[in-house]
Amino acid sequence: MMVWRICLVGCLMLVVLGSAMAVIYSQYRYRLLFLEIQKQKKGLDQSNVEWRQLQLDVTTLTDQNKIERNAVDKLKLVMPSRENIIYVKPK
Amino acid sequence: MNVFHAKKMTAAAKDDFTARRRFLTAIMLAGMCVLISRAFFLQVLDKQHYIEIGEAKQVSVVELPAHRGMIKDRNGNPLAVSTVVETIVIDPSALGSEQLTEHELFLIRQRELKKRKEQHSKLTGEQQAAEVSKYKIEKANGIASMETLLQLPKGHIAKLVKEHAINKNFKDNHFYVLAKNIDPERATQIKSLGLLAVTIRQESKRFYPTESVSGHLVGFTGRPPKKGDDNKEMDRKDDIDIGLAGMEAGYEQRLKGTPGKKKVLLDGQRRIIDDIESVQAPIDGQDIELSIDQRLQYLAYRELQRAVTANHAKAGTMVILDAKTGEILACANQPQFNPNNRSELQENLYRNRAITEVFEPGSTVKPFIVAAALDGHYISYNDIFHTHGTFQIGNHTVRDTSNHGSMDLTGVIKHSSNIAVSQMALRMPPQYQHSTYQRLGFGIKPGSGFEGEVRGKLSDYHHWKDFDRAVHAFGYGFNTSALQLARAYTALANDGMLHSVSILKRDDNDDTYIEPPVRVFSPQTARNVRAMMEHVVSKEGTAPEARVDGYTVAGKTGTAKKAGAHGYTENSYFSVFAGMIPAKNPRLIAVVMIDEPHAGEYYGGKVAAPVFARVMAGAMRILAVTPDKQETMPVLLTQNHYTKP
Repeated sequence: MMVWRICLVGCLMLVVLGSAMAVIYSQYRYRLLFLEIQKQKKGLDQSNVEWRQLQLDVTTLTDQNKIERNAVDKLKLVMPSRENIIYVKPK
Repeated sequence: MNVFHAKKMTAAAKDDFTARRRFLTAIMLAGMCVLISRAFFLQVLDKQHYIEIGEAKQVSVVELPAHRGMIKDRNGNPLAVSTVVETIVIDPSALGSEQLTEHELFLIRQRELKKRKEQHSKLTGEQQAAEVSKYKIEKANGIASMETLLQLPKGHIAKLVKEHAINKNFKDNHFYVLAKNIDPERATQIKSLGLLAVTIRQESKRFYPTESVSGHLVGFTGRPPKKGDDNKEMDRKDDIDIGLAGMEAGYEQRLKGTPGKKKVLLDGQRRIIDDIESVQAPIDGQDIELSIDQRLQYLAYRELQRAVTANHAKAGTMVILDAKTGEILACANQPQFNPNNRSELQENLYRNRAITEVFEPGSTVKPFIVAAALDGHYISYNDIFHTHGTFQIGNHTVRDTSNHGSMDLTGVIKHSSNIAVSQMALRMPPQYQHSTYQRLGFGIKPGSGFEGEVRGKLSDYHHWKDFDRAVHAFGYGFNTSALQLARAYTALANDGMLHSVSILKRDDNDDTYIEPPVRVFSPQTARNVRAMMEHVVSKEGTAPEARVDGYTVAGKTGTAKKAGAHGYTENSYFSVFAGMIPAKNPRLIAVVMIDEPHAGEYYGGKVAAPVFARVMAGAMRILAVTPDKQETMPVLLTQNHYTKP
């Protein structure tokens, strides 16, 4: 009877030890995964920042005010007068 | 005897040891108790306190900023974007080397060499001196390059360092903001200089790529007034901007997002070494899509600016509505306001006049009176109105610009006769006239979703006398914003149905409640009045300059005297034009208002109508609306069918 008891306690102690190790391992895995997520997030953030910057560049470059200024100043284009505008209509 | 004595001695000695042992045991037990209780106290009772102290030294919770949402136009073009800019912070005490000894300088150089993985130990005295002089040269070159990159005058940093050494208040400060809003590319170049006392911090900045074109609409963000100045040690919370005007302020909750938090591991100098865990993930702000079409907005902005300058006017405003949905497609104002320019943050410049300011609409409301009188059967289509230039109501006289004689309904609209509409108003009960105005949205907030919109003033009809009824018929005695007036015109454009207006894009998939259109006039009346309004832009009408080649236009001019402190002024006017295009099946509605033109002309037909024509001609092309009056423009017939790419 006594031997059984000792065996049982021993087994339970092993189980407790195993579970403690599992907790430690899962905590360790969690840390690793969290770090990986953070790394990916940083990459995503960086891409986001770049995307916003590019969006801004596109909008600034395609700003109609700017295009018109360049068309008039650099390319010497003029706005056609009312009489010179022709409606092109398919037959 | 001896044995006895020995026995006696042994007993005595035994007694002595027992006492001593007991005494020692007691002391040891007491010591153990003290230790155990102390351990219990530290590890059990006060455990949390010590965990906190430990974590505070090594672990910290830092804020993760959330991106502010973008403001876009209806086609997805950004009108307001947050982007990352860099701030260059220097530690003047570390940047200056005058007060440092050769040995201290060598230690700094040694750190640098260690970082670069070059030989940094076991150097001879001569080698150390050589490294120190190399360090001095490299640092001077680095500072000079940084000055060039930041476009600072030469010697600026050296001057700061010197000032730092002298000024006591400045001396305690180890952080000095050298430059703000630096683009990431330049910041990377500065970083590559490898100066130890230079830190680069990322901050979020709001940019408005369309600048003054849609400045009044989007508004701006800023930091609420706080204590402290820029050059003090930066508080990270200072990075958060909030909307202070326009859509930025009105939709702050949707745009701002929620910052997150994460736990990080710190080193001895409280620098972040590693992330530990996420406490709360940041939630980025939502983007909002305006109903504005940036292309039309630009046209309106450009033409309005031209008109305000040419007419030496005080201000101007233009609103364009989608006649089918009530969405605001453009809303431009003058004087202009560029939200990127902090010096322009003055209330009189950034106020969106089209929505937040009122004016008396003048003759632009006459078509409503005609439609209401027709619908109420107070007049008929065959009625002839006899005018003789003046019309007496009690002690008051109503005047026309000239004696138009007798005229039919079309003539009333075409010549904008005050007398004829006064006669119509006097035929209908004041309650009916008032309720028509009210159903058209006068005196009620238009509900566009723009913060700060005004309701205008429409007085109680119980107090109206005959003359009040007459003046209300030709647009005096009450006031409206340009947006309200444009909204009222949707009732004529949409065969009698008044639309609700919106500054946000109306999406078919969106569940947001949209106020259904309300019937104000019968379809036939609205169509007939629209046909009458087409004559306004004819050669004999009041606004031939509102003509748009290739399209039918229906509109109405308005010229209202401005009210001052002592009644109406003589030389200050609101010049207004409200119209729709194509008149047969309106696609757009526009209201142009020029405030106080002072270049000679002040009639709505001369000042505001040309703006309408120029903007609408461009808008029709942009929106690819088929001309419905091709006989008024040169047409080139082609064999090939043009297909839209």
